[in-house]
Amino acid sequence: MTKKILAVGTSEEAAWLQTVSEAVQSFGEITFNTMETAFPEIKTNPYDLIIIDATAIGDDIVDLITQFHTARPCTPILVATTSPTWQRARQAFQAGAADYIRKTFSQQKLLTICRDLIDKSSKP
Amino acid sequence: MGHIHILLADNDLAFLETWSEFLESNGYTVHQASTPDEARSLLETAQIHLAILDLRLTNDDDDNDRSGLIVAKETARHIPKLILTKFPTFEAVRDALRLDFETLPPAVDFIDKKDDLDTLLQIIVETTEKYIQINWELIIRWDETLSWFQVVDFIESEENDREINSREAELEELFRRLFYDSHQVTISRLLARQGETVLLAVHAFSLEERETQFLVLCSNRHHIQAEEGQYDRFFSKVPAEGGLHKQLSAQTAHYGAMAFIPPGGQVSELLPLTHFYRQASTETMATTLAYLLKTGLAPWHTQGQFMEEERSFQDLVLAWPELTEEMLSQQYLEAKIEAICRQSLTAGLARCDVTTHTITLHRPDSEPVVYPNPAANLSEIFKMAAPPFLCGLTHGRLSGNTILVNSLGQSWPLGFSHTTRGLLLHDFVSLETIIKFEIATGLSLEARQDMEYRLLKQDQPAQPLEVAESTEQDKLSQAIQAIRQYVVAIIGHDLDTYLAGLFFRAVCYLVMYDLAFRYTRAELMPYLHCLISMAEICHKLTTPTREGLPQQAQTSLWLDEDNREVWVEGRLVNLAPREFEFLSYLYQRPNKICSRSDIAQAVFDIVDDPALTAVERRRLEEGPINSTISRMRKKIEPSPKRPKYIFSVRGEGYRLLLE
Repeated sequence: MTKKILAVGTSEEAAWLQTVSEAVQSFGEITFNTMETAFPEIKTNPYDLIIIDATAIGDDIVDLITQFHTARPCTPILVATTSPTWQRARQAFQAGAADYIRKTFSQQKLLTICRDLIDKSSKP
Repeated sequence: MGHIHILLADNDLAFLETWSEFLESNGYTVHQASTPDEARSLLETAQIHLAILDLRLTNDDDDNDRSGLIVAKETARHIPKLILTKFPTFEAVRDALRLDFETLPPAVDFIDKKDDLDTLLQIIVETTEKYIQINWELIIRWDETLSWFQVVDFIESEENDREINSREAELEELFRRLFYDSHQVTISRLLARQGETVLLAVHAFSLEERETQFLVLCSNRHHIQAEEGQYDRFFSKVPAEGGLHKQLSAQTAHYGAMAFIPPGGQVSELLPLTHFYRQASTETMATTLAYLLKTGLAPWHTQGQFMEEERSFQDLVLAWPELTEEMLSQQYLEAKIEAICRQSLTAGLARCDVTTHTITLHRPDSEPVVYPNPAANLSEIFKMAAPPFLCGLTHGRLSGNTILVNSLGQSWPLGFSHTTRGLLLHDFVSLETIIKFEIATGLSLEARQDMEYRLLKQDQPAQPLEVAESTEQDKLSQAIQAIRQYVVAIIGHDLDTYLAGLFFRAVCYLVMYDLAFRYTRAELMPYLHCLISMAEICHKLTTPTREGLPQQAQTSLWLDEDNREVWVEGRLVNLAPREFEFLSYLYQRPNKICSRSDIAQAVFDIVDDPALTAVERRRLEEGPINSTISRMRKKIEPSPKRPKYIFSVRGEGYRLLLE
């Protein structure tokens, strides 16, 4: 069954999100949203995975994760960034992120991470 | 407010002392560890609520040292942990805090050692509030016959008194975790015990005085983890009326508990099957078993059913949790059988003469019966069942104490830790074995022997059984009948495979006999019954069909003097010597009336004494003739109460009717 994946970021970072799309195309259907449109989208439609581009979102990332996690507590949230710090990683996890990765992860690694998150979160 | 116990693990001893003092001054109890092994040991054995682990627990100068995080990942995942380090990195945080979905992440927070103590304290307070949910205000009431000490004693049967005392507090904490959202609980009844597991009836009250009744399964942590794992894996597909649904669960260092709500919500009326059987009528018992099979077990059995074509019956039986290869060796079983027979003699139950191939059962009031020795026939019995076999999800460890019944006769199984995919037959023969050997009491050895013989006379598993002589015997027979009728509906009419399964399930029971113990008569009786059951099955399954049998042996009664065999409708009948002589006498005079006095003289050597009156002589003859006729009819007649072959002729004698 095709998995539904929501990618959240701005158009400036579309290149990375295209990378994500290519990585997951074998098992997922990816939808792009900006920060402003993502929350109403999540409230209306269920997704198997949410991927957030933290570089594009900036300081609002923790609030965004908290909002998404509250709305869909069972949907894993994967946060990706170009400049990870341990403090930001900690904040993301505390807000409800399931994983926090560097954008420089290979497509294969990204695919594995996405699959794992979806598989584990869907077990009864 | 209870004590929170914190494990603080750091290889910097000065740091360890400073931080321990600080935490203790804030009301925490601190357990110290300075190496990964010490930390691991404390996490597994001490009552720890929260663990704070240094990331580089072995060598601060080694950038690759993550020994503290490894301990967090590999040990006691149910305990929330904080990782502490002077060298925080994004990779270490990711490794520690990444979600697991099935349990807590390796750590729930990550602390920089450069932060001040107040920051640490704040994180600890937040962590305990979020992850350590213990209701210290919970009011706990007990039935006057129960206590924490007793429950610990049941679960930890090998611990000494001093250790039990220290475990009481932990068990209490377990219940404070389990009923975190309740205002009060009353532990009203010990429903059952099974090994190191107890089943308690608990009434929980909310602050608004709303009552919910729970069944609480309580045991050591590893057992409950296995139970819960299997439950979560398989139970989601069981419909609401099909079982006891888990509502709550909790764990401590040594203990675990799961709380269930039964369909209907009433725990106070539930009984284990063992107790229910004793008070139920014959009809109610049969209905209860039918309900258990169709509603309690069927939802499991129908999950992922398949026909096993490749594996042998022996392989599938060896997968049963109660059996090992050693238990299925001839020598192992012989030792058990000889011990049971020896004790039966000293207990005055019966005398059994055991040889390699036979067991001869002597009873004071009847002729000896010769059985094949089950130990010598294991491989033959395995051959009786051939693929394909119906397999599916089985309960795997049914017992009279973990099948619960309500006042309406509705019943459900508990205990999921041995749930596995295997022979469906296993659950059915387990149920029959439980009823015969564990639950049915009050039956004499003769009654049990008689019942086994009648059961084995069936050509098909669900063939109707004639009404037994006593109410207890009838209840047992009808209960077995209810099971076998269901079996036929599920796996068909293959009696040989069913009997082979029953045989090996009886082996599972027999091997529980402990050679080191001395048993009371009441304890010994089911083992002797088990042995007789196995022997009867052996006899039924391993008696070869003789080539060249005449038609009469297949359709009627045929006596072979040369081989001293009696065949009735294709079945070889095992007659004692005197019984054979009696039948032979009648057989030589077919369809003719043989007088009592002639039979008495020819078969029983009762010589006509002129000094005796007719009444006295009649009394002398009646005893042996009547008892032998009764035993013969039970063995020969398809329905002893409606004879087909041996007829009494009132006032004269007996006639063997052969068409």
